[in-house]
Amino acid sequence: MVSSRWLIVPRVPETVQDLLVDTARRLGILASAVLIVAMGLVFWRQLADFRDPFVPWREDAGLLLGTEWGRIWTLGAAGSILMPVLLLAASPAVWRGAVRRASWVLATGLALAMCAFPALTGHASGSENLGALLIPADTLHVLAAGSWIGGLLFVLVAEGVERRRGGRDGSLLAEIVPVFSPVALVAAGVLVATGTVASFVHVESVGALVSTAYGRLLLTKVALVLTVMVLGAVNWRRLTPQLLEAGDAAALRRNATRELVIAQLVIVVTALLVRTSPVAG
Amino acid sequence: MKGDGPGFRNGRRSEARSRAAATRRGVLVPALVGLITVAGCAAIDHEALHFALSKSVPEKDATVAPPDELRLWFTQEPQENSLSIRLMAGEEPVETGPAEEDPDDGKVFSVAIENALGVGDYAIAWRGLGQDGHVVRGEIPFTVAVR
Repeated sequence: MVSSRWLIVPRVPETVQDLLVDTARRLGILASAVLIVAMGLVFWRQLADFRDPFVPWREDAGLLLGTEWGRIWTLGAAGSILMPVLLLAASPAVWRGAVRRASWVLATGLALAMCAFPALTGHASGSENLGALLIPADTLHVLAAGSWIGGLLFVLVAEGVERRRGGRDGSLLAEIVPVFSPVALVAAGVLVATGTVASFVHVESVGALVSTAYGRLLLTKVALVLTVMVLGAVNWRRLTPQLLEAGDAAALRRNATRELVIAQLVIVVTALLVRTSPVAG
Repeated sequence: MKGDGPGFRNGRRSEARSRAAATRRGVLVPALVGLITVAGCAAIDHEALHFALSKSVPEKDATVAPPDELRLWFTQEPQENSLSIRLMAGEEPVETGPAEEDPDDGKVFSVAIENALGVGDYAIAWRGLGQDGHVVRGEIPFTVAVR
């Protein structure tokens, strides 16, 4: 949501900027709440894997928190709690002017730092030699996915808010979509490039794409990503010109919703992928 | 017709040339980057990317005299505080010293056995957290026989 706040909102007409900033802020608070729960589940899952049945749970939890993974998780959990606080402080009802903007800037810095969490606790950290390549690549991958998929959610929610406010004829798509499309395009390019690098490093051979669980999940992810890209391309090349020329927002809304739903499946498969070791067996 | 003159034709030719050059760049640069990536990745030691057991003493399924220590070699250093090595006799743990890291090699760990083991079947149950955040565990069964 913070990428939408800075990459989309400043480029739309001023008349709708306040509505969009508030939508980004509210969505950010909601996403942060989900993130807090997700961080708790991540720790619980890791602790269950780490469990030694001959020592008390509390001792195992202490040991896990003392590892590098545990220290980064602690920072990530603290960040996920701080994020909604900063976004609440960015509300016009709480602060005005410089403090409000500072809250947004801090929330943005925090979100960028949080993009590194999967890289610092996952496969990218597995190699000392390749860490300098893989950690920035994975961080960019998360940032690009958030800018694209998070941006798409932002566009659709903002459109819903406008329709509720302005009735069935209300639509913001003609203002937002031309600004969102270049962001989505760049994000898609970054996703493909960084995903390709990570795949080359983690998949031992072409055969491992079918012989390992990791390879099969990766192929599933690639198929879903291609579907999302095709839907995105239809939105960009066919439905956006249709929207701008004939004012037909309904078709774009429907297709963008499909794109968002399949993108959620990509995220589910990615969650499985990061939990799976690329090594056979 | 102004547009049909030599200047126009030269302009069209130079436009076509620059478009072809851009296309070549558009194909060659990603192809070169791709080749370098593939060549670089082919040289990757994939085993070293993941935490796993590479060797142990006693070895898996070995029959040995009562050992004084258990020694395990891993493919990479586990995360600090994460390694546990437990000697099991059936479902019960056997009392041993703590897992000690080899001062010369952070990928090697040993556990001292304080009391001589009796004849029977044992297993080394180990667990560690790899640098990639995966919890990896394994069991190495072995048999102690009379010396």
